[in-house]
Amino acid sequence: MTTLEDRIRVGLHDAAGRIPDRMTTTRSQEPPRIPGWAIAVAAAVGVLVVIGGVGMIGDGRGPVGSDGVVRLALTQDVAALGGVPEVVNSGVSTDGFDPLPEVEVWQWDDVGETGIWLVKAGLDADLTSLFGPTADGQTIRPPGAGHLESLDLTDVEWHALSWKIGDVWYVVFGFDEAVISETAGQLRGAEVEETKVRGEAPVLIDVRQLVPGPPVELSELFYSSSAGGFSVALFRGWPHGVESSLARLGDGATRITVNGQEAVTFTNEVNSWVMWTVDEGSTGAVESSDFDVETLIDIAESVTSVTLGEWRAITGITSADVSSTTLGDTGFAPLADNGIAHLTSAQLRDVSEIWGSMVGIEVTDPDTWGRRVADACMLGAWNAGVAEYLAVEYMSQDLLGGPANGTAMASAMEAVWHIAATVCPTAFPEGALEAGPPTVTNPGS
Amino acid sequence: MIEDDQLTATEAGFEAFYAEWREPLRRAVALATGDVMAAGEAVDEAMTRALVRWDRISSYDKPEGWVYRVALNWSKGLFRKRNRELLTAIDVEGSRSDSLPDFDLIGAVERLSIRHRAVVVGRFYLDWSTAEVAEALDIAEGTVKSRLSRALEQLASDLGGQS
Repeated sequence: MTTLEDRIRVGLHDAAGRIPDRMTTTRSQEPPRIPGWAIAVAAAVGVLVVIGGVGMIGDGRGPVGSDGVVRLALTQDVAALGGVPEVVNSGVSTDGFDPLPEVEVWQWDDVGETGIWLVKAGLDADLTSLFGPTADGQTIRPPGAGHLESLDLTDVEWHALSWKIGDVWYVVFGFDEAVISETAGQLRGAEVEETKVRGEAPVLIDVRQLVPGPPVELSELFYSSSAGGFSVALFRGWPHGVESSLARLGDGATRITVNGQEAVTFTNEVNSWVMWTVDEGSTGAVESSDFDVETLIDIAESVTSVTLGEWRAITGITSADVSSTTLGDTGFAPLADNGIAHLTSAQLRDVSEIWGSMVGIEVTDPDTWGRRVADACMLGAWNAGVAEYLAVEYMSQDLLGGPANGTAMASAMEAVWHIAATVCPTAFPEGALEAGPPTVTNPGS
Repeated sequence: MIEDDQLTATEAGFEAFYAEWREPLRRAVALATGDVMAAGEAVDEAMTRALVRWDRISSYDKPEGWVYRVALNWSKGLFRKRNRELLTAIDVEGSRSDSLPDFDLIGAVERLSIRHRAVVVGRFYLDWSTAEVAEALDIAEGTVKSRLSRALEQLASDLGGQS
């Protein structure tokens, strides 16, 4: 009796054998000769990697040109491979694309393994006709700022990441999640000037620091815990562009080595940070408003050289805690200027009313709520421990250090949850919103 | 500066790899994507990229796995670029006339998603282990097993116990 696996094996080999040896492709079946350009590329890659990617390709004058425009090489690979982006959509149907007015698309075939696509579009743009149908028939729209999103198209999985400059959104799409993150990290903060993007090699893009504030620069927060005056956090992946982003936030990010591992330090008016790569594509961070960078480095020294598993043991992370939480969406930016979230007037009114109605204390200061919202959304107010920690802290501040009774504390915990749910609902782990605010009997995730 | 003898070694190593794997991978990609016409182009594209990175790719345990993945992804990109459906029919109009192909099986394989087909082809046509398929497709072995299990389940259902 033939097993199913045997039948598949035989059937596939038989079908493969029936595939004609030569198809109507224009490619030769003979082994290719290594072309001269490939040899040159191989040599160039080695050189360029040594040189580095910023501003060193081209006239060699560095990133700032005489016209004051900052120019960055898109990526080392692109420049080295001679990758010239192809304009695949500018409101005109080309190469089989449906025209999408108000949407511009560039394609680099030679970035990563399979290329990337850069889309300039409004967040409300409907990209369905550009990328084909989703598996569940949903409309495709650009993901929120800093939100790496997977698009489950029919038979194909894509990844996308967006950022905003002024009123324009840029979205990078591609197959390779790591390439998308890396490329977006390099592009982020850059204004793409069409004349530079179209067809000039090496590929240069114009970068202008148009935005006084930081770009929305977030990554997926796996875990955060506050204890002993400082916080430790675990992010998925290296927060792309963290150095440039942090540099814009404060005194400048400094690349250091802690216990032999790459790390970045940063200080702003509120917090000091030390961030480093853990492993398995994760980034550890220690942060505090109470300590200077040197003290934090001392703390980091104790946890930098451990593996992710050990890190979890040290910080008490359980699998339930690692909740792949995506920060940032709907314009909320926890890592905003000075660690204070920028709240709209409507958001400020909402959170003030929640706190006032549930706790009975009127607080209207925008900076206070900006800081509290940043904490609630970053640390995870859906977690009972975090909610309690924040409630104690905020009640202490609002009562000027006076004691709060148990009922008031319970209300404050719930209020913190509602505030986070109002401002950053997309940061909640799956099911956490539906589960409601954490209480003693409902501790949340 | 790259020395001449290094180039020769690189060229020789790649050409041997190309000679061994170009055809099996072209056929594998054709089976996995159902697009026979594009499979050769996809594998050539992936081979070219492998050549550019050959110093690194050749150090892999299975460079052919890397080429298989890149060719599959390139095919997907082509699919999107052309903004059309993948050709799902496996072209079996070959020169063999001594027997008929297993049309029921081919039809059942066609109905699998490309993700499942890529795993099935890697496992049963390229005869890679689940670990090797996982490495080739850059996914977890557990994912390979899961996809394989679902694919076999669907194939068994489609074939209705014919085997």
